[in-house]
Order: sequence, then structure tokens, then C-alpha cells
Amino acid sequence: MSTRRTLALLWIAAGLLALGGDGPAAAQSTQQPDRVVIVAEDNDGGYRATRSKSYATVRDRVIKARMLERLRDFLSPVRLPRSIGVRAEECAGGGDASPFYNSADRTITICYQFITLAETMTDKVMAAVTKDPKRYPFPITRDEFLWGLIGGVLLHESGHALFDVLDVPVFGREEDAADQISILVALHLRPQLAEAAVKAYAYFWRMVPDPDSGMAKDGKLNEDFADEHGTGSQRLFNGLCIGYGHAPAVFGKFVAAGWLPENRAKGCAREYERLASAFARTVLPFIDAKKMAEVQGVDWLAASYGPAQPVTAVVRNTPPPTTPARSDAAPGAQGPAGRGTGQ
Amino acid sequence: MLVSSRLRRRRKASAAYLGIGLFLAAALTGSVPLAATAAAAPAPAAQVRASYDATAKFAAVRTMLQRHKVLEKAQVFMSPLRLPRELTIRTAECGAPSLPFDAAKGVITICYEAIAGIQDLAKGATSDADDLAALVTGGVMEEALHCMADAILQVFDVPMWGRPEDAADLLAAFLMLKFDERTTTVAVIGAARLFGYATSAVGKVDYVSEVSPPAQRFYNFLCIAYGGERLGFQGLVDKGFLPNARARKCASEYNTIRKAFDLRLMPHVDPDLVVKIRAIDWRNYDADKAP
Repeated sequence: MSTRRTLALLWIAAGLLALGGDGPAAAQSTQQPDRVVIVAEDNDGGYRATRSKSYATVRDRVIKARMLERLRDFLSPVRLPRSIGVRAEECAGGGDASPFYNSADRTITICYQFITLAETMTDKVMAAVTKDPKRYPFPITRDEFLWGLIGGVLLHESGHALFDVLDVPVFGREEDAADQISILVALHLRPQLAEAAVKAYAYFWRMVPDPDSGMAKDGKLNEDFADEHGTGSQRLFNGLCIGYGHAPAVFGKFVAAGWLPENRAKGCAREYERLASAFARTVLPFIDAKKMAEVQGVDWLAASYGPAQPVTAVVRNTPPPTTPARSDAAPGAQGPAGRGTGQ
Repeated sequence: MLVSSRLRRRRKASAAYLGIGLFLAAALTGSVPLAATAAAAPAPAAQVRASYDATAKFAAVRTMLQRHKVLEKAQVFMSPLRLPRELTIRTAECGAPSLPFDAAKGVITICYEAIAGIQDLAKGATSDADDLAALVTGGVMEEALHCMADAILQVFDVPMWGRPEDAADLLAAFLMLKFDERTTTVAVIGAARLFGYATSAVGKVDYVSEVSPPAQRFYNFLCIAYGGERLGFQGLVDKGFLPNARARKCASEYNTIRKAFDLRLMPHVDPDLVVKIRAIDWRNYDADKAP
């Protein structure tokens, strides 16, 4: 074989190998086939340098919190048929940029801007809870809200990623479905975390105003309704309904306080069962039960803005049910991961 | 869920919105014959029974539906489905704008109240006979396809992500795109316009319900149409009825519903019959003369 031909074959082989590594793991990163991969560039650990100085300190906090590592670890129980990437960056779109999943490169991007937004929102909620406890009657700590909000949004984007990579059939609006899976997963974490996540979700959406009317002043339809996401109240009611449907004893206080209207609440057990069934049939088969139990046992709040806890805190020996169970008991009466360990 | 079922107060649509609706209609549609001459088509499936239940209160509505052979057409449209059980599709006086699919008995019900509501809404929106026919056609097709979609999702025990009423809407919109182009255009635009008029008529928005407000349904519906038939519905974006920010995502939204359909429903569909159904000229279809 001539040298030229050998080089050509090597070139082809190298090209094929490169193709094999295409996707979110293509850049410098720790290769974890079929798992969640931190997409690094230039040894940035997945945390892209910022363009504006104002987000440099945010980046430092995100790195200190090991946010990408946490997200990767949180999703580790999913036996992904294709890898998913995660990275953090100062996103295009200015100060309103939110985390997103891009199916083209199968990557979840955490925007530094969103962390700033979450911190600002946390200050606002904490002030409101302190100032008007009658209107905001559900005690919540700063860490619970902040991490509940950040975690909820990342779970939402992870939901989009799972729908894509696992080929989950979504007949309803995908944005609603992503909210559903984020709440469902959160409900099956440690009881304290589950409740905190739902409270954070509720406080956030309670503070987002709805459009006043279906019609705009110019006689056209109100384009606020053109958004593929639900309105603040719709997302509030949808999320609380799932929580209440799963654990009425825990989340009945939202009904009592009027945050979840009675006429919606009466159908929430059915809504939860429908959702749990969809999860059991389309996502659960991809879940490693042992790893899931480990993740469910981690206190993800314990090390806010500090090193993440190792993901080996609790190992449950009980096999998961085929469907995430509905709980009528208070979280405190449950085991470390609640009754529904099916995720 | 019908276009008008969520109307707590039926008022005439605002004049401004009527103008928009007419403009939208003029931009994208024309008049609509619901039934006329014969055309070759598969026989209605034996596994779907049809019944126009008797009614005194809505006799005119029943007569209109019978004249246009709405249920016979629904039978033909559903014929490619390999149903696990016999179904009945009926029109009936319900005492309410809608009835859910009766899964135990396998009964799909299109309520006369819903069709009457569609007629009322359409009459409040236009006095032009052709335009009225287009609106009613779109509304009736949306109502029937929504009811059928809801039943199909339940009969085949589809895992439900998102809200079921939205799912029935999106599947109905997806199915509307399977008709011939002219019928699709009339149906999509007619149904969307009625969602618009319903928004104007309803007034206060109900955020508690599991059913999306008609304004959201308007955009969801148009988004699936644009996502699946960009060429045919580009005018929706050009004229500003579908904002660019949403329009950019519509191909993806359409593909999501198509993927779900392919994964969960297509295995229950006879592809050869689908071809025959798609080849039907629905504007000139006569169910009586079907082979």
C-alpha cells in the first residue's frame, strides 16, 4: 500500500471516528457515553467565559455551586440512548435569557442571566413573604425558593431533552408537558425538597401577572396568548394540581388558601394519575432504579452555593413501583424518598 | 370541546375583530360546499356506527347535519383505524355544550348545543351566506374532529403528556391537514376565526379550567396548520395573525404531534386505506355513493 493511500485511509478513519463522536460530547469533555455530558471548551469545564463583566461574578457563583455537575448527577439515573449535553453561558437575548434545550445539539444551556433573574426574584419573594404573610402564607427559606426555582427550570428543560432523546410521544402542548415532568420528578425527591420545590414554583407563578383579556385594545387578539407557554395562573394551577393530586394532605393548604380553586382541585387526583401513568409508560423504562433511589436520597439543598453532595447518600433496597404512587400522607410520614419511588 | 362550549355569555363579537376575521377569511379561503356529487371512496367502516339522535329543540340543527352527512363522513374518515372495539359516533341533545367520550360504551357525542352555538357565533360574525357557510363548516369540522381525536386518544390508551383538551385540539388540527388543500384551508381558517370570535364574546378569561381559553386555542390551531403546511398558511404570518415569535416554533410543534402520531397511532392505521381517504375530494364527496 502506498504512503499516500495509507494516509488517505487514516484520514477517512479519523473522519469516521470524529463522526462517531458528534453531538454534545464533541468538544473537550469527559466522555460518558449514553449519559449527560458537560460540554467543555478550552478547559472551561462547561462554564463559558462571559462577554460582559456584570455576569463574571454570576459565573463564579455558578461554578462554585457546581451547577452543571449537579444537573449531570441529577440526570444520571436516566439510561439515555443518546447523550445529552449541559453547559452554562451568557446567552444571546439580553437580560431575559432563560435556560433552554436545543434539539439540534441536544444540549441544555444554563444562562447566567437567568441566575441573576432568579436571585432578584428571590429577593422580591422573600420581601413579599416577610411583609405580607397573610397573602403569602407558606413559609419558605431563601435557599428553598432560589434552588427550587433554578432546579424547577432546569428540570423543565431536562424534560424537553428527555422528550426528545427518549422519543416520548407528546400530544398536548410540550411546554405544559415539561412543567408536568418537572413537578412530577420534584414530588419524588426528599419530602422537604418536594414541598419546597412546589412552594417555589407556586410563589414564582403567583407573581407573574396574567393577560387582562383575550382581546387587545386595538380589537385584535391579545398576542400574549400566542406564547407556547401557559400564563402564570395556568402554570400555577397546573403545577399545584399535580402536587395536590399526589399528596392532598401536604398540598391541601394551597386549596384552603384559595391558590388552587376547589373546582379544579376536585379533578387533581385524576390528573396526577394520568400523568404518573404517562411517566411510567414512556420514561420509567429508561430509569435505573438503584441510581434513582440514590438521587432521591440526596439533600440537594444542603450545599447551596457550595460543593455538591456526593450522589451516594442513600441507597434504597425496595424495588420501585411500576407507577409513581399517589401519596395521601404528609411527607414527614414517608421514607426518605417519599412513597413514590418509581421515578 | 367545541368552539363555543366555553362561552358563558354569548355576545356578538366586536366589530373590530369581525373585520379582522373577514380579512383573514378573504385572504385565505372562499366559499364552501359541504356536500355535492359522487366520488369514489372506501366504504364507511363497519366498526363505527353513526346515529343522529332525535331532538325537538334542535331539529333544524339535526337536519343540517344530516343533509351534509357529517357523521357518514366521520365514519369514512375513521375507517383506516383498526379499532379494538366498535364505536358509535352520534349527534345528540346533551343538555350541555359538550359531553366527554363515553369510554365504557364507546360513544362519541357531538352535541346539538355545540353546533347551535357555532351557528350563533357565526351568524353574529357575518351576514354573507358563503362566509357563513365557511365559518359553520370550519366550526363543525373542528368540533367533530376534536370529539373524534379525544376518543381516539382514549381508545388507543395513549400516554397523555400535556393537557388532554389541548391534545385533542392539536390532533384535530393535525388531522385537518390530511384533507384536500381546499377543505383544509376552509376548515382551519373557519375554526380559527370562531376561536377568535369566541374570545371576543367570552370576555373574562378562565385560567382555572383544564381547557385553554379560545385565544390560546386560536394560536395553537394556527401554529399546527402553519407548521404542517407552511406554503398554504404563510399568509397567516405575513398578515400578522400568527406572530413571528410563535411562527418560528410551529414546524417543531407540528413535528412533535406528527412524531407522537407516528409512534402511538400509526401502528393502528391501515396505510392503504389512508391513501384512499386522502385521495377523496371532500368538497364533492357523496357518502351514499361510496363503494
